[in-house]
Amino acid sequence: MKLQNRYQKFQDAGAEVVALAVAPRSSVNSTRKSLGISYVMLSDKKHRVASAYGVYNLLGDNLAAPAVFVIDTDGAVLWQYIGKNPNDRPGPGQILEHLP
Amino acid sequence: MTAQNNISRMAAVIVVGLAAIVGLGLLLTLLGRGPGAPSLAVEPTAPHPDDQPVATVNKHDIYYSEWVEASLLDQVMSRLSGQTPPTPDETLQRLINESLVLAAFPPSAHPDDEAIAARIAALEQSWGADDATVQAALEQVGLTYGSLERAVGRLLEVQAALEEMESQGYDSTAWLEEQRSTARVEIEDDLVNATVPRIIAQAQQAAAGTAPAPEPSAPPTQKPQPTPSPKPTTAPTTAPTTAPAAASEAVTLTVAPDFSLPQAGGGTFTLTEQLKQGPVVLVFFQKCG
Repeated sequence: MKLQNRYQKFQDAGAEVVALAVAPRSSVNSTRKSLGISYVMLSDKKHRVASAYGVYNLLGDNLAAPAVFVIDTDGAVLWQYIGKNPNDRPGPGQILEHLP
Repeated sequence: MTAQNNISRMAAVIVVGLAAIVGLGLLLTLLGRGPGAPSLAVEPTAPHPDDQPVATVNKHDIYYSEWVEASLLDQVMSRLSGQTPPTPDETLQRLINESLVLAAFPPSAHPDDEAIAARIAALEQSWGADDATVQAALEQVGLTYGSLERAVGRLLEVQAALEEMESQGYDSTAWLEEQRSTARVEIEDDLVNATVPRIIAQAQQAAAGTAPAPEPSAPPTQKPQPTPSPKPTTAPTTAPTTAPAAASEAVTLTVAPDFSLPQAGGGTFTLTEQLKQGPVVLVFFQKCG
């Protein structure tokens, strides 16, 4: 994961990276281990969070569309990017630009 | 007095959003619902799609339009009363509970117009709002005064049903728990899931617009900037955000809905807790691995 490579940059900026996937905990955990992900990764198996953020099943696959939300400490969404296909995701550099 | 207390307690369980607003007091108790979610207010719904059942309780259908209207009303009334509004999911659960109560203890008569008007007047007084303010708040989300009258009429019916239940010696909480465990309740998850984000987004648009009262549980300093201009940079910035598309349900959020999920290695991750330590980059992966 490219995100992992730049994770330190996010931490330097005082931000935390939190990843979610509509998948069981077991697959989330094994992905986390196999890819050496050190940021938070959560199982949103029942897609409650993906639904609340409006990204569930956007691509008609019963999964979350690839998406990024930059959230300020007061809960304001500073920036969001919602992918239009499974490979449409912003790079870490692009996300970093939008950190407060 | 005892009877009144009992009725209050029962009503609070069942009439989730309205009960609190009407001043029947107590915390909202939902049967088997998850963590609370975003506090929002709302804006007009898009034209209703086919009016299909969003849930079926035994053989009674709860229609999509009924649920959307109830959700919007809950948002408006919560905002007027300065309380945290229920989520659309919670509103649906309330409708299901009410449906069970009304089916088991059908009201002998519909509440008359005078009773409804009197209850609305009492509500407005408790909100410190006049007719015009309430009307404006309703119109802001595409509802009419008639929607409020219907909802209050239903509230009175549910209250009457609860009184009847009480008089027959039932405990409402136990009664509901048993009903929910045995009743045939089917929820159209796909329809719900497709709609909740829209309700939430519309709510946020209204909140970012001319919300009459600040949210009690959210800082009133939200930045109403769905599409912040990119910072000056040499890097190419493509499509900073997804416009609210008509075809897909992609929406532009201004306030991040709170959530809690279990964390690998134990414990629970809660967004609002994490935000106390700094900004959060929330990344949805389509797939694991």
